[in-house]
Amino acid sequence: MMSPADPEPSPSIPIHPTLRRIVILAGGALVVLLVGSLLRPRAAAPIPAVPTNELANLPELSQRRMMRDLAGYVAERVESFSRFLAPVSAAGRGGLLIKPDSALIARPGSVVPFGMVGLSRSDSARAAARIGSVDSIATSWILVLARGDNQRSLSLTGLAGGVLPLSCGPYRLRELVVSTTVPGSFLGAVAFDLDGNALALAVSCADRITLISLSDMIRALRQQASLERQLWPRYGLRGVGPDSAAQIGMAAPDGVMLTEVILESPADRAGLWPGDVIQRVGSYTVTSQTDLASALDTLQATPIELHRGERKVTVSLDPSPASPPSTRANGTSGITLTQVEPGSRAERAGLQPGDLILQVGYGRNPTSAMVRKALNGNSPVLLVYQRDRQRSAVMLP
Amino acid sequence: MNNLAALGLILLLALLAGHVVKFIRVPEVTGYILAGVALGPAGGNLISHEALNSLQVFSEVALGLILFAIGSAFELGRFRRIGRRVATLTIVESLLAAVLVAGGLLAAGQPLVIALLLGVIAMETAAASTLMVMRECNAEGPLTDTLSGVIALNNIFCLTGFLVLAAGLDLHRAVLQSGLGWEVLYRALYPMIWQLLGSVALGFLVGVLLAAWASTVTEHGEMLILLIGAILLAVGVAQLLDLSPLLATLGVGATMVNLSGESRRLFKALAQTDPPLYAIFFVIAGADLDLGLLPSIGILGVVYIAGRVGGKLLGTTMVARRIPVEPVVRRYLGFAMLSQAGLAVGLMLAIDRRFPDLAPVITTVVLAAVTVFELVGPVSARHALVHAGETHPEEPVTSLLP
Repeated sequence: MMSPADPEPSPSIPIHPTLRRIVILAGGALVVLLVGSLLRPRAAAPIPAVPTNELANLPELSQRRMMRDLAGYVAERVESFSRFLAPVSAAGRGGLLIKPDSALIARPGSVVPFGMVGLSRSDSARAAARIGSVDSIATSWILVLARGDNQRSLSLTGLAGGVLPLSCGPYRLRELVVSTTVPGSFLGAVAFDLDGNALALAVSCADRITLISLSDMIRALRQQASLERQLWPRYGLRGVGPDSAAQIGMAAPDGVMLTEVILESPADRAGLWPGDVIQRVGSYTVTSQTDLASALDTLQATPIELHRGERKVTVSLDPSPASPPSTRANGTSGITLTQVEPGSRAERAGLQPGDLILQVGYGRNPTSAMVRKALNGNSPVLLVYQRDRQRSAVMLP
Repeated sequence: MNNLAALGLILLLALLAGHVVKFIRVPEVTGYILAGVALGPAGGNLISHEALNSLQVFSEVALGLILFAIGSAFELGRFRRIGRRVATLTIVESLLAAVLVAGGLLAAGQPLVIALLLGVIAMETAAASTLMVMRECNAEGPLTDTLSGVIALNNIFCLTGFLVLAAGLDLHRAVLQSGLGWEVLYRALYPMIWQLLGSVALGFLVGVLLAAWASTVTEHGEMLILLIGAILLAVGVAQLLDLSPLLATLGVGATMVNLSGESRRLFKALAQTDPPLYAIFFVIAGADLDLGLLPSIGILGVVYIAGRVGGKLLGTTMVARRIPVEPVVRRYLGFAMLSQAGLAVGLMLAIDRRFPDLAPVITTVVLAAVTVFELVGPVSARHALVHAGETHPEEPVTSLLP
């Protein structure tokens, strides 16, 4: 190892050959470290995890890991589902509350992630096909898949129903009834069987998470739809939610705008008036007819908060027929239309001769000059009229 | 309980446990580990997970020092003497353990990937606890010599095996996903080459620094400062650069022992000062063990444990019959190599990061097996050394290495 004859003549300081070898080796090691750390590949972009509070709050590492796998799994399959996706306008308004009696109330809140359980790669197409068949089973209800905000996650934003108008701008489906979560460590899932049949949705029920079978859910949704339909016979009112309001030319309200009220009905007795915008029923925030129907169904003799023009009014609605008639809405006078010219604004809005105009804008007891001005003018204006035993609101375009 | 109080409790209880277990002829290491189990979350929960995490830095220093000491097994002169048989023994015993474990797991219906990964992990023998037993027994002789060499090589071999396997797995997955390309190849192979080459380079550099400096330091205290500083630097830089702290600290030890005549003095200085560190190390290791996992060990855990024990025992005896070794080595080496911790847990965590889909099964098996082997391994190692007649219990401890 140590040869006395240094093969390379050193000019001034004689360097021990072993030492020189060490120095060379150390230099080499330094180069390896420098080059190696420069050549390190950038970390591959991680699969975006679905941003949910549930994910962040999962207490167990294993649960978080499972969730991450699930999110990655769904992100991988976005493409295979994309052609089944329907555009959804109000994806932020998912969320689901299940009352103890299992009726459904849409809750303004977050969209929770969607995932699948027990679905192998080759089954994804079949699953999607079966989602289509769920549609046909449910007749008026359709299972909706939507992309999340990050474009890579899928959300099952809801079962939306055919009782809604089918077109609203480019969007066909508007009311979001349900979002999904999955029990325990599988937060966020639809349960499919291995044949690809969607069997159950996991939903967050207040603080707990429940897996409810799809058929139960469809039944509940139908029941809810019938609840909505009961608004008319039971309470004597009809309204529009923010989305439908635009369709009939009304500005989108922050609640449900009443369009029709039957005289002597509970709604009339409570003092509800077409054009009122209902925002809260009891402790429930109301953003759709569904909300309104569910809330009224749940609560009896309910305080209802509403906006009437600029004013904020609270009325109490008692659905029992024995309740005393309210006097507030009575004693209203109006102007009776004697004729409606063909092609006029009034005709286009559906007014007929004999209709009693009760309100122009938010002013009641209008004079004939006010009515004439509204009918002949150009600016949009709200009219409330009475025909037969029913008061309706209409927007003159 | 705050960290200082926890630390004090750890030391005192370790001392107590170390004394108690001596009566039943069980190594101190096992006493420390049992003390850890009693103190930790699985036992009395006197030391919480948070406290354990903040005490991890002691573990890292201690493990670095232990591997540094083991690195000195690569002293060139000595390695020339016994290197060939040490290498043969290591390769056969670890490969046999890997093959038996992987084969058993395959037979138990596990996927090939999981079987292979667990097979590679099964190769490892815990350097720390085995070395501590040797030191406690003041062991000296052919078995001790061979054992320290085999353990050093074994850890390198296991790490290399894992890196190669992980690179292959990465490559396989990337090719399935996006086809073969330079980028894919680079991403898959880089970690393997970098961790091996870079760690050795780092270890060598720090070793050279240590050796050069050690010749100018005379005081015992300064020597310790230098040594611990160098080890911390190696471990820290390795973590920073994603290198293997294990390989780097082994490299420091190997470089030091070959370059500097001071190494004996260094190890002596170390041996007089480091026992508290090791006590902390093993108590923390014990507190991390979860005895609650044992009932859930399942058929996979049993297969793993049986395969590993079988591989180590059979492998060492098989080789020792063919090559000229002392009878004590043939008879007892396998029994001295049963401990498992450190690197096995490290590889398990690496799998959790790189292949999270495979982690659940592997984590369960490894944690349960480590619990068993950390309790059985040191006892078995002590018995091997005692029966080999290589223990010298009367002499005071003077050197970390035999």
